[in-house]
Amino acid sequence: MISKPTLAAIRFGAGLGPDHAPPHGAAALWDSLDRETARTVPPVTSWDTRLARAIERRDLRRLRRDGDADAQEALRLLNRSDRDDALADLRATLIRLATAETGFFERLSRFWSNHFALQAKTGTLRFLRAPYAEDALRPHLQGPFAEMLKAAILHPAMLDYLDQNRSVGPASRAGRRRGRGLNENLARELLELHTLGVAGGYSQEDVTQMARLLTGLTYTLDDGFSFRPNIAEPGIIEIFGTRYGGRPVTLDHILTALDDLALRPETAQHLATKLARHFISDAPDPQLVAHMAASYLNAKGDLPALYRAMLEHPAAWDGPLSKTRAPFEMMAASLRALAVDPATILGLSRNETRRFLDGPLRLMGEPHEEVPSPAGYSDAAPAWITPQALAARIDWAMGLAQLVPTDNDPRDFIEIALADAASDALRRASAGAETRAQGIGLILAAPDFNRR
Amino acid sequence: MQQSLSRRRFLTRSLGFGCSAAASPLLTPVTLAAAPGDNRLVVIILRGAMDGLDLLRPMGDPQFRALRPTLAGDGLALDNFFALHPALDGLHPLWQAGELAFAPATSTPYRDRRSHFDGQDHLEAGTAGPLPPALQRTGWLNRMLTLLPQADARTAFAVGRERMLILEGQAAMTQWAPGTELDLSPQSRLLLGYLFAADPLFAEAGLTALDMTGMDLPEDGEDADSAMMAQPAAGDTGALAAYVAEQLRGPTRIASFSLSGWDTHYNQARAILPALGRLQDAILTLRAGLGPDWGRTTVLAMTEFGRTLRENGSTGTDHGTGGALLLAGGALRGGRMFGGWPGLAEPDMYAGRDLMPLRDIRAYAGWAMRDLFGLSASDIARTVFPGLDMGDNPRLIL
Repeated sequence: MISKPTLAAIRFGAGLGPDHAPPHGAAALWDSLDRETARTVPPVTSWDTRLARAIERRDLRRLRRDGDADAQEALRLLNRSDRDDALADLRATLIRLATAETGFFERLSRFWSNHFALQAKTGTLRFLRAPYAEDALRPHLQGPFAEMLKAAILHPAMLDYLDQNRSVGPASRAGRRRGRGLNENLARELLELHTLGVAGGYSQEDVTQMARLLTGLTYTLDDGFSFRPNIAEPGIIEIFGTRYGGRPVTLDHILTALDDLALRPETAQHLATKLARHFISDAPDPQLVAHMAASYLNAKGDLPALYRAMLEHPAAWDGPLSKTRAPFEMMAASLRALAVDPATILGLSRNETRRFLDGPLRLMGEPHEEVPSPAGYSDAAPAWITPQALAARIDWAMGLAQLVPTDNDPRDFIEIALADAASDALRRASAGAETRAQGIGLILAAPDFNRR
Repeated sequence: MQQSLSRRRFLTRSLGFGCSAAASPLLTPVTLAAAPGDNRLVVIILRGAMDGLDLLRPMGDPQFRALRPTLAGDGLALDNFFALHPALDGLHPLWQAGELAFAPATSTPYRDRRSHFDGQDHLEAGTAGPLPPALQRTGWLNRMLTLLPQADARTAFAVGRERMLILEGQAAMTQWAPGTELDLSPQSRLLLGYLFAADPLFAEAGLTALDMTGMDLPEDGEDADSAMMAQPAAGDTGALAAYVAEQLRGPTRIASFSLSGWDTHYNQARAILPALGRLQDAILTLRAGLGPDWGRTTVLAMTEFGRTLRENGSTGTDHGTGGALLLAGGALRGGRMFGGWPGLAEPDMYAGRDLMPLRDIRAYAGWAMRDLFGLSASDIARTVFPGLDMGDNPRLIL
């Protein structure tokens, strides 16, 4: 039976470490949320910077096309500095999790980033996952889900990723003049992944109607998001028995539909299930999920009510730890347990970041700046545990243990890193390692430390 | 002398591609399994919903050009009705040699929701309707393995970074991708093995990781020389397919891997080209790498569902229903179309928008497995594809 503070730290937070007292339980996690929300250090690249770089890239490509001899070299330098920004974002986000008071906010941030998963397509906008999360998701983590939904769906990064900027209302002015029409990519994922869930009872007709309603959403590099009435489908559009739209076409029709979607019971069920699966178990207690969904709806879609309902339910505190730490979480937990100085990580050079962080994350199956699909990474416990990904974890754990100058005795370190979540087998094995470093690496690579 | 040079490093070097093949997000796992007999089966999962109508163009259908204003260009004629996408010109000689075939209008039983992720789960689980809990984590290739009495589970292995449902299940599978290194002291290796073995969630993957990185280079130089001769094709897909071919020349009889990049919502004429290139590379590399064994090989390239018959508003296509199954291999009764054509007129469509599937794609896979591995049709309908009506034998195999 694992104690409540250990469960709180490992299941809901960043893990255990010598610099952070474990949260006593639900209340302590809850209290930390406000303080962690306000925390934006170390900084990550802003969305505005990303847009400015994209404009620069577009202009340089034009110059190159027009035969400007210097444009090629300028593009190369721009790409290199963008890649450096992305590596800096990786270092910063890792340190945010590793050094957070409890890490609950940062864990939620990773969850929502995977819920509204996207990555850059080949084009002018690049390396945008961290800036997008900073711009669209993190400000809304503690508010109504509808606000996060609108921020994510209307974000240029999402409009680009799911082709919404290519969709044109067939009866709109531009549609009629140029014979263009719908692209239903975003409309489908909005219903299937972001709100109702695949079991949410919608039909192809609903997807088509939603695609009609979403027309008009687009962006330009120069102005960011924009709503363009001349590509928006005019007329009344009915979705789930509610009529939207009409003349004149306005953005408000879309915002109202997103507000309504956020409050549907199917959405509550979908979000509650996903969140409980993420934190607690691949097969969460149905009563816990029902309690979360009901609390969410009672609170008119307020996300803190959803989190609070999860934390306050007894089933959230059942053992054992049956989920697995994602590679990024495992890295952060290791740094936290070893109390690695944040300045060491933040000071890594481009090549060191690639060798110690970026490359290993890729080998472990979670490359920074990439998602496998609009559905994000699988949240099932076994999904991360493939032989090759596990080999990469072992490799990284052993390497880290050798690099960190530590007088830590594995017998002491296991109490810091795992406390009462350590198995007797791991206590024996780590004490039987040939060197201290190998003993510590063994603890970080062992199943005990890779569960949460 | 070369004590530290382990087998996996040697494999990596001889194939000349290190980690890059496995690291590509477009290439996901290769799974390999040993089975008795001489016949080989390769299943390629095309993730993202491959547009069968673009790969295999029904030029003879009077509706085709009107439905596809930018996607109905001339292809390479296969018969007097269908043409192959011009980017697959490397496969045209296979058609002429009887080593390429299609089922133009097929699909899994998955309908209407048109979710990639659900659709792929159904394709790999091989089930109809919502997945029963007992089948949620088992794939049809794995269930087929359980029917082969001489299949040696210990020599069966899988290569890749992500889990692949189609080969998960009771028949013990090992998953691997070339290029992984693990430098551990013997004592750490021993202790980790002990820890992994005690945890069911980590045991299989953990012990495999330790086993596969712990293999030593064969002492004699002869094996090394022969493997050094294996030349990888250019590019990640080719390199991975070369690796698969090498395994299939050994004791492996069943392999599966996936190719992504088929979700062509926008500007499909250009967007589909890289995916077509990878598919062609994979097939041609398998053919070259298998040498004489190509004659005993069948390749099935299948996708979760087809795409809309009409182009969408941005010269792409959206999620649909029916689509094409591509078959290749020297074991194939190829150079022909299987299963007929539903037509593209409005009343012939599925739901007024998609290609009408004329036959369950599992029936093709089922009959291929029956003829390749000597299984009974009733075993396939009971264990591999529960509840499937196998129908008549399309006689895919020579």
